[in-house]
Amino acid sequence: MFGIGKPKHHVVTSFSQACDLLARMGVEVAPRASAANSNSVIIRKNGLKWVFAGDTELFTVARVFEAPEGWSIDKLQSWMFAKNFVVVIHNPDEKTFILASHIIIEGGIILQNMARLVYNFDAYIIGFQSHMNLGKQHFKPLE
Amino acid sequence: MEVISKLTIAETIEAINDAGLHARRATLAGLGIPCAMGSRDGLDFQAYVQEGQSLCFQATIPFSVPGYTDVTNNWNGFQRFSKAMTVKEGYLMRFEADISHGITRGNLNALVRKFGEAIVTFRAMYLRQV
Repeated sequence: MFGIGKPKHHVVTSFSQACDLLARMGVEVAPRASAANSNSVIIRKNGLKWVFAGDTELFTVARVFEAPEGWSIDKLQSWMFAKNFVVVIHNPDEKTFILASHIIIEGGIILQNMARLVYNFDAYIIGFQSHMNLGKQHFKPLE
Repeated sequence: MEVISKLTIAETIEAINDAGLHARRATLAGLGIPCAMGSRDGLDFQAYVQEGQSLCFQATIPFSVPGYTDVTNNWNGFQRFSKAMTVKEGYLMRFEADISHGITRGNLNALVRKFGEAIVTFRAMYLRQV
């Protein structure tokens, strides 16, 4: 049939390639201020922003929140149970939550799958914020 | 690079066997979802495709009491190839990959290998007494 064929798969194997392709797809990708963060960038979408970092094995998208007083570990864990692709870590020293999604890229990852997770991370941020009753004041600034 | 457009349990079983992790066909208890079951150093794990969108790996790491959240939090903070949660049987380890647009053969092999490594590393780090 005309016009119907196998979908073209674009395989991503490096962080710089991923950033380049995301930018070409129209994703707002900004460098981080610190030179020490050369293997990470900031993704912006609809007033939210998050970190996208990577090496040769793994990409990570993440956002850090201040943990409010009286938060519940059961509530945090129930969210992790319910959600694919994401993990939440509590840092007791910093009194923060780190919401993250890890994407193993070894062997090459399909661009569309990677882009979906990286670009739609705002949905996880909003969902987590709502589930844990976090306000705007709980977003830790990004460097 | 070889791309698998629509991953099947048969291909998942092949990848688990290629990693030397003794695959067999099984069904997820209580859910009736077909899965591939593998085993690494006596720890069983399941791999299944969820709604054609996600490749999910999971393993229960048995412990004498429900797991401790400080253990899972420590793991989740430092290990990136799986997440750990507490369950009444001990610990549940999971990892999910988005495969809605396919998966490369190399990535599938890496996921299988890394999840197998993760579950034995978790046991070695936290459950030496078991």
